[in-house]
Amino acid sequence: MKNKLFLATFYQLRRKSNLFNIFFIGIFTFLTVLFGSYNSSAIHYMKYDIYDSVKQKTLIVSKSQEELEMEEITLDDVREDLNKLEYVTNVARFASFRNYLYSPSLENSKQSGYVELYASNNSVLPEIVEGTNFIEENKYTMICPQNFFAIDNLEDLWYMKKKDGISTNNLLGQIIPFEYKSNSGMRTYTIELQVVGLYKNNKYHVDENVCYVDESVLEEVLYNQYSDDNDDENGVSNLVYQTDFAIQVDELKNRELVEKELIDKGYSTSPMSTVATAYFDDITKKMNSMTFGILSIIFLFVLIVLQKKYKEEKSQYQLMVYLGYSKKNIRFIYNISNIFNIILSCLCALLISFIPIFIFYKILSIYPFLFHKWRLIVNYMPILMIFLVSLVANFITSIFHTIYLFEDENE
Amino acid sequence: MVLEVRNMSKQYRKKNTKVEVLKNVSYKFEKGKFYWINGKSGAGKSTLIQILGLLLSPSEGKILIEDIDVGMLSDNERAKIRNQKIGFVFQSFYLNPLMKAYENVMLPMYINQNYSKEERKAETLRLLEMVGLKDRTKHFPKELSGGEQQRVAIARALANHPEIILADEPTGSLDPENEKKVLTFLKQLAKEGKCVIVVSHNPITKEYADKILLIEEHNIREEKSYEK
Ligand SMILES: Nc1ncnc2c1ncn2[C@@H]1O[C@H](COP(=O)(O)OP(=O)(O)OP(=O)(O)O)[C@@H](O)[C@H]1O
Ligand SMILES: [Mg+2]
Repeated sequence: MKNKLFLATFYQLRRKSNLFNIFFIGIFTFLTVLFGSYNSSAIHYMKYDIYDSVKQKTLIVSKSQEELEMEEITLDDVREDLNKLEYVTNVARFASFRNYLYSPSLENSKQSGYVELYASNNSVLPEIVEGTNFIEENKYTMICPQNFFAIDNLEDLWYMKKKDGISTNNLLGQIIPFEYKSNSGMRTYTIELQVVGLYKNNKYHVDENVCYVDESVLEEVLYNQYSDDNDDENGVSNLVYQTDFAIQVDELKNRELVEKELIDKGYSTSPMSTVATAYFDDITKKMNSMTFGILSIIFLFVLIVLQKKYKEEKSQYQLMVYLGYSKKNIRFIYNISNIFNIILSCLCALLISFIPIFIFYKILSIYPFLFHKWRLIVNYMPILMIFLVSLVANFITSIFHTIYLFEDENE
Repeated sequence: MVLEVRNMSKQYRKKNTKVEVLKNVSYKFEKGKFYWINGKSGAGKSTLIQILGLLLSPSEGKILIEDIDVGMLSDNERAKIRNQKIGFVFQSFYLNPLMKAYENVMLPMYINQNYSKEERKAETLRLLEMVGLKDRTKHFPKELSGGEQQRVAIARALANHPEIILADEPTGSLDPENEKKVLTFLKQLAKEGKCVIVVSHNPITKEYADKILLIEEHNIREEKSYEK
């Protein structure tokens, strides 16, 4: 047994072509590890980090107009009711909960673009690291992230480097003008908001363009957007009678409890998810097809390699029969040697992966690139997949080879 | 009787065609004799050697090694007989290119581990010394001349002390000088009591042979007139 195992394993390393094959499959396996890791990091970011963020702590709560009339309660009663709920930290009219406003070209181009304004109050602001909370004297104030960046499109943020944002000193105290049009597009309004405080960016959440303002400011914006249209008085009245509220839960884990309580109280709730899933779906699709492509290449390559190996070694196997191995022994050696090569390839891939990933981690700790928003997750699963694919290829060839290995004698 | 063929026939069948090679062959090989098997190309010499070496099964009839019918044995048991009782020498030497000379010689002892590691080493060195290659043990086949390679192959054939040596054109790839060396060597083995069976086209083999066998018309004919 020992001798057979030796001939099937370490002896195989003497053959240079085997070493080459092992290395080649190793490289390809490493590539699938890379793709798999990119995929996993993106998915992890979407599933855990983004969902853990402010948006996922937000619920839209509503009660129909009829119910309000039936129960003879006003929206203010509803607001009070919601405020009383445990775990709820912020209640705002959904109509004014958030709005994208455009800040026109300014000296600093980073301030030009869309900013997402959230209705807020002092009790729900993120940690303020510079400046103050909202102040009594002036309602036209806003709290911005330390690293601020108005954007033209969302994708910019995924690739944004930290240094692209506006530095803190610049921003604090500044008055940023925003422009918006009425719904019909007939009138243009401007509103100026002073930055009074800076909050700390969430490490994993895209919040570079998220600012917090008082609810009444957003409500004013909405009224302007609707009331401009003289023909449509309903626009404003619709807004007035809209029954939706947005509430924020203190922690994600409490969301279900709150949801349950709201349903018990006769409200309908829905989560608010505005994550750019399409972007991630796109990444996942690309990476998956690349991984699949590589898997197919490896499958074919293993088939070819095994065919070549068989041709090279056939006469040696026959010699071993002359020298006293039975056919069963030879089949054993042949199959174990193939599996040994496959295992070595996977180990080789692990080794090839370890070193660059180690170096990559080191580099990331200095220059995070896009990973300052991502948690880098290394996915070694493709190695297992390649192992299985190779085993299947081995199984297929070995069926034929062990038949043809002794073909001449069977006649 | 070390090796006996009894009413043995061999046909190769491939799809619809049937090649009749040997027909109702019977012969008894004895220890201590040098057999020269001669015959036209395609007569079936290699076929006979392979059947004698238990590499091919006869279509009909029996092969007996030390009065044991090998047809009744399992594949494993036949492999064991090849390993212990039969030594092969081929025209193309058939050495493993990835193994050094001493590893090639050791391989049959390595396959069935009847010897300890030390015994194996000592025996390998003894065999290589016997064929005059004591100082070339660590060389790979490609680093040896044809004659040297064939001597390594002979040393390998002698591992495990087989009683039967089967050689198919052992000198076919050698120059006259090495040819002589190899044949003298095989003759020496016959004198020591082994049954040496050599297939060869070369008439020079006659000088070494104790018995001459001719394969003709699907059968073996011993040249009775010739006896040394
Ligand atoms: N595997 C096989 N399948 C079919 N026919 C075969 C096979 N092996 C040998 N033969 C045929 O059997 C006959 C005998 O072949 P064999 O190799 O024994 O001849 P030989 O006497 O050794 O010839 P040579 O002197 O040329 O080596 C030949 O006609 C050959 O074509
Ligand atoms: Mg022949």
